Amino acid sequence: MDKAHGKFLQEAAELMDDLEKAVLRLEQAPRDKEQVEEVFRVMHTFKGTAKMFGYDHVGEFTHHLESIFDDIRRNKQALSDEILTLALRSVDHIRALISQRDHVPAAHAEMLAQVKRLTASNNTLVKAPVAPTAEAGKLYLIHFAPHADFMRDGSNPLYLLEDLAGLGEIHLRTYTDKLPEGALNLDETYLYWDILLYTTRDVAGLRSEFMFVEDQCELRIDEASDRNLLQEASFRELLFQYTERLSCELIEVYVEKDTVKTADAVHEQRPAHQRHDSYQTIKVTYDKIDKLMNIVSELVTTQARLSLFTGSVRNQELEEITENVEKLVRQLRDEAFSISLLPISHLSVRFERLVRDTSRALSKQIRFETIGGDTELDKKIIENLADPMLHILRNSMDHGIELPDVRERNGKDPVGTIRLKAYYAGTNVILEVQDDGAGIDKQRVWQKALQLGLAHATDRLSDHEIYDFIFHPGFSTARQITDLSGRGVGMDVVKRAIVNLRGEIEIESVPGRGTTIRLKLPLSLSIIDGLLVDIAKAKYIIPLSTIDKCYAVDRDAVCPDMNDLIVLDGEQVPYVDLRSIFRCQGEKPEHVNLIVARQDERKVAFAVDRILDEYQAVIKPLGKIYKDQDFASGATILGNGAVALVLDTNRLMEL
Amino acid sequence: MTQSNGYQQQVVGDSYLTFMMNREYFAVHVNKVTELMEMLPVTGVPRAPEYMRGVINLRGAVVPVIDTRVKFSLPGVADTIDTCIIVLQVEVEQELLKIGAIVDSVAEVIEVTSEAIQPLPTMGNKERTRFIQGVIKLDSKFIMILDVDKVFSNEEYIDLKQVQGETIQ
Repeated sequence: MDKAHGKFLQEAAELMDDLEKAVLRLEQAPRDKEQVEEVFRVMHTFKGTAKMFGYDHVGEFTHHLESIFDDIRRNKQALSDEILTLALRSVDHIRALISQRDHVPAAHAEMLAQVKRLTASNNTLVKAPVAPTAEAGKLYLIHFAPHADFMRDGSNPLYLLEDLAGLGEIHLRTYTDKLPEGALNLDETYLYWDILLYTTRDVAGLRSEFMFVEDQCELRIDEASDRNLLQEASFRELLFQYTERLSCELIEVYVEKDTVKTADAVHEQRPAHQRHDSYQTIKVTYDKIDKLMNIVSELVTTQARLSLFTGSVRNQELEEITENVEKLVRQLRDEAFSISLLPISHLSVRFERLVRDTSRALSKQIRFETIGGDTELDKKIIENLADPMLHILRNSMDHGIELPDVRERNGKDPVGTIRLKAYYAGTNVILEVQDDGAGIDKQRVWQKALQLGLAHATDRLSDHEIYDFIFHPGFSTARQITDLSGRGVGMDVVKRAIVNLRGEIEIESVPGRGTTIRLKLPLSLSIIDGLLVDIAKAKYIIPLSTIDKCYAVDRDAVCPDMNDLIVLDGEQVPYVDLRSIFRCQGEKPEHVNLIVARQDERKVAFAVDRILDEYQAVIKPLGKIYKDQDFASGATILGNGAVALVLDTNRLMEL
Repeated sequence: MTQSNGYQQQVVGDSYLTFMMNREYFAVHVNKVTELMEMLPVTGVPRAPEYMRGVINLRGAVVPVIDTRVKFSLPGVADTIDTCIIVLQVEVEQELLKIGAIVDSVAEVIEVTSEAIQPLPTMGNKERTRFIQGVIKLDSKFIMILDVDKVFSNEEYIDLKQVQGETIQ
């Protein structure tokens, strides 16, 4: 569970980043309903995650915070500056809460109270003059010093102040230093004020309050801040301690300092080791890694050119330099490459959650284990693997693992086990999902295959071939359609997803003992081993992983005839002449090479002019405008700088 | 022209890169141009439309190149020493892509105030002229400003003769 906890911390940190970003964006566009939704969504997601990992007080806090935004979403409450500020402070607060799992900071009660206060359904205070308009308010600093004869025409400063107080939240500071030593003249005014007012009125609106007395007083109205500082305890404290006249500068200094102080406070609340950790990893956008990989692969090809040139020059010093460059480039390539890899455990938290929820829904008891979670795969593969893997797991839980009483009757542990096992095999990664469930009923698969006309009753097929029917579109043997799986969409989609990743999938099953689904995936999508071939003087790469065997034959053997079949090793194999498919002109060579590619049980021979070499290709996308030419899965840059297309044999078979 | 960097254009006018095809002048806004390349070896992509000449290696990135002559239904010619690739930033389905355009030769960068750009005659067939943003009349030359996004994100051929028929009347 420790790893899961770490994963939660990371996820929480990311969600808080997202929330912060969303709130800030909302502040920019307060009328944007979608942005409100976004804030609400992130809060909601986070609430669920927090509760799941036992951070109940964080979940509760987030729940109240979420309610505010739910009210805004439903137009029950207007968005105000106060709410936005509170939301941002809440983000900091939640971060502090998470970093101290067992210790609830003293500020928690106060924060919670503040959040609760702003929930419209709890409170009518929000309907006070500040909030009902959607506009954000501002804090104004008003210097108001009535002339001595202010009251002569019947004006009363107290009435004015009362009116001001009705416009929003107010803080008054009354100065008495002009009071005379002796007796007071009751007709004269000696007092003057600094007024802090948080209101949605603008300066002109405020000035209009003083319309009738403007020439009987000194008046200055300044915008002090966008924030309602009057809500902030530290500011109130400052007002209490500070006895001089108020100025905008003072407030400015406070706002800046406060941000720093708040930041400091958050830092201090983090345990020391975690602060250390946050500098151990840095977050880099995938774009940057992509760029780095591009430069590295360019360097690799440039280096190949250099080696080519050095070989032709015969200069010992140059040879030494080239050799060093080669070594460094290889190291750089490996390091850069490893940056783009992610461990499988990246996914397993999601899997764990799924197993937990699903097993409850199915009234089954299932244990989920991960072995080799640190096995790394290319980020793009990991991303595209999540959905098919979730589907495989759902299948195992739904169809594989039996109900506890059934298991007990069969002498098994009532708690079923699903094991995710990952390991390296050469340049591939193998992922296995093993369950100790009922296994697949071969007879039923066979019957269903016959029923669907996928096989003939007279066919003699291996177990492997029979299990393969499961990947056929529309194939499902589940007797009962459940919510989870069994709608007959699924395993074919899973298979397609895996094949698109240039991977393979196979099933092994022992009745009564369980099923293993094995995925074989390439380490990376960006580098492949291939054969460099020549077709009508153009160079192409064919991925080695799909190649079964190569043959050299006479040109006459592949002249188009009736059936486009060729006999290889006593077996009839359909062939495709890439020259004609690519509509190449020119004389054909005397001999051609046949490359037999295998896709499942299907074999197709591709005729090329010549096989030149093995080649490790860095694959680059061809770009959107070649989307109709998808038989080329990409392109690579050869040692001489020329571009060669990388062919996708599966798509070629479909041409 | 009218949409991009509004402030600058009012002061000094916009810059356009002019180039030639079939002895006619064309222009593209310099904001759309990322670089100019001498002709590079092009790797053909089979089964693609004829105007899609193939892909080039642009310092490690694979960039598609368009044979602009073919795209504009002009007679094809062999590449010469003047043949150039203008690498353009083109918006295709809301995504910015780099696309190389092969042209006969590149002329110069000119600065044009918006007044000097004449709109297209409206009476013509709009369908045929929507690739042209306007016409610059410079000395005795007519220079057609291409709407790069429309020209190069589109899969169809443009019949330049018809476009010219509509424009220069």
